[in-house]
Parts: sequence; structure tokens; C-alpha cells
Amino acid sequence: MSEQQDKLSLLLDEFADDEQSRRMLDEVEADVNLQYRLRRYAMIGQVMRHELPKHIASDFSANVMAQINSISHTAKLVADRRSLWTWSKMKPIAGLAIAASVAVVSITLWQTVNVDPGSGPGSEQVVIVDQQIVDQNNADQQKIARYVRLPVQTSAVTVGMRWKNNNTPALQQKLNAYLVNHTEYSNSIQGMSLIPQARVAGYDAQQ
Amino acid sequence: MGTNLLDAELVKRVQAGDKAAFDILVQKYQHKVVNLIARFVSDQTECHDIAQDAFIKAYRAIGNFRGDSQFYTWLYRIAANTAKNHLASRARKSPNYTVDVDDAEHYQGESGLKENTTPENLLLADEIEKTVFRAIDDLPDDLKSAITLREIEGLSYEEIAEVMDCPIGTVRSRIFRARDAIDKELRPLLE
Repeated sequence: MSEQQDKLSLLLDEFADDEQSRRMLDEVEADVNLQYRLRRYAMIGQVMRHELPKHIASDFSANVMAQINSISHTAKLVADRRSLWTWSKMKPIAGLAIAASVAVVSITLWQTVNVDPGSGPGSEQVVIVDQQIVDQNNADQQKIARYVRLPVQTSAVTVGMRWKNNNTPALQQKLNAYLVNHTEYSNSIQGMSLIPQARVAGYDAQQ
Repeated sequence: MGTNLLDAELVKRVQAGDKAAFDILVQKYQHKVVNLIARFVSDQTECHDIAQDAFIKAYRAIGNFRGDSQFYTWLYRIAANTAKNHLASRARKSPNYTVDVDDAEHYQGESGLKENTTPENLLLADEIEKTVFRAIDDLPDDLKSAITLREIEGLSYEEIAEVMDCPIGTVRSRIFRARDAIDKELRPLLE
């Protein structure tokens, strides 16, 4: 105990090193008797320096701490209420947000299903992909390439392709003829393409 | 750990939610704060109420204290402003109302300010003073010199060791023994 009081005296004079002071502060905080002793030690100095007020309130710090504890308790209650209030206000908004998200996902999925390959007969599509211009040395194709970019190699995967056996020469010939015909038709109508807002690029990812 | 470092450590603890650390700060500075407020407000009971209010304000604001100034300077400013606000709210000015906050700690005030103090209130302080000084008188000379050099002259342990021509450990021991002897007389009064 005497050693503890000695350390308390050092703490008051701020003669202890940082670590000692921290350890002593821990002990003081945990022990009410040490707190009272520290207060009395401090009071001795104040009396000697004539700093003591004429009116001593022995319960001063106890009153302050009681009020602080009361404030802390009230603040916690208010915070808890505010938290509950916030959640009660946010709950309908959160519900709406979840509903909207579900709706968006549903619509997106529905659209995806609708363009799913093989969804119906005669639903062949011209796949628009960014591809290279046809062999520029080929004179016949250069004419076509003025308006329609035919695919030479396709890097994009055309998921929606539904033509079967499109590697057969007969089918390829048919499709090329289709494109040529349409190109010529578009040329006849003052050079406008069939679909002016789009670029016809090809009919098969493999072509 | 110096005064500022000790206060800084206590403040850091309070900011981390340690209320006991604030209790130590209150006990450390309560008399100084009361003395400061007494220079603004003559009524002693009011002084204590305002001082308590100032400490509570300090506790609420301590999260914003960044240590740019010393803690006690910051606390005294709060206390002085609390006293001024109290006076303003009562639409009554103390004769010392114009005391600057920075000078308030050293301002001596006027003796007439404390004329409202009741004899009952004075009794305890007077009793404490008499007890402490009587206990000091009863101390051996080496202890009396050590505690006087420390508390009144404000010398460090090293300086006291030099003045008394003894090791620092002896100074430390003498100061502690002096405090312990005085505390034995003081304790019954405050319990």
C-alpha cells in the first residue's frame, strides 16, 4: 500500500515516466480510495498555495459525474429511439427499393428469354457485329462492300444464331445471294441501305 | 510524464469513453475552476453550480478537443464563458465582469465578493487549512522543507535534490512521507 501511495505521489508531481503513469492511472481509476487519496494529496498543495476556495463542496466531483452519467444514459436512450425512428421511416422505402429491384430483374430476364435462340420458327436474325471488310482485292465483293460489310472472320460469338448446317455451300450461296439482292435493292433506292440506322455486318458468327 | 502529458493522457482516455479519467480531471481542477468562477459570481453556491455546469460542458465538448492548447486553458475558457453566460442570463453584471479570460486565473478579485459566504461554508475550508498547516508544522524539518519546496516553490525533484543536497530518491521519499503524514490528519475531516 505504501508503495502504491508513493507512486500516487509521483503521479501527482508528474515525476513518473509515461508507462508508470499509465499503470498508476489504471489503478486510480479502478480504486475509489486511491481517487480520494489523490484528491487529498492535491488538496494539501492547494491549501499550501492558498488556492483552496473558501467553500468546499465535498461532493462536487460526485455531483458532476452523476450528471454526466445521467446525460450519457439519456443520450443513449435518445440515440436508441432515433435509431428505431430512422428504421421505422426507412422500412417502407427499403421495401419499395427491393420491389423495384425485383421488377427490374424480372423485366431483364423476360427480355433475355424472348430473344433466346430457337424461340420460334422463322426467327432468323442478322447478327450485327463489328467485323473486317471483305477481301478488298475481290472486285465483285468490293462493290457490295460499299454498302454492306460482309464478314470475313468473326470474332464475336453469335449466341442467337439458329441456322443449322450453315457451312454447307448451298446455304452459303443462298445467304450471299440474299445479301447481294438486298444491297442492289438498297442501291436502287438512292444508295440507302435496308436498315439505315444499322449496319448489316453478316449472318453468321462462323462466316 | 509532465503536466500536459498527464492531462493529455487523461483527455485521451475520456475521449475513448473512460468516465473515470474525467473524474480525475474534475478532482484535479475543481478548486481552480471554482476559484475562477468566484471572480465572476459572488454567491458561493452559484459558483459551485456554475463550476459543475462548466465541467459538464467540457465533458460534452471534449470530443472536439484536439490538444491545440493545454487542457486547463481550454477548461478555464469554458468555465469563464459559462460564468459570463450565467451573468448575462440573469441580466446582472458582476463587478469583475470585464476580466479577460486569459487573465482570470491570476486575477485577485475583490475581497467583498465573498461576503455572501455563510459561516457554515467557511468553516470546513478554514478547518482544512488549519489542519494542514498544523500538520506541516509538526513535520520533521527535512520533510517540511521538501514538501514546501515542491508545493509552494514549485521546484522539480532534481532541483529539490540540488537545494537539499541529497539524492532524488530521498527527495521522492521525503515528499511522499510528508504528504502521507498530512493526509492522516486531513482524512477524518473529509470523510
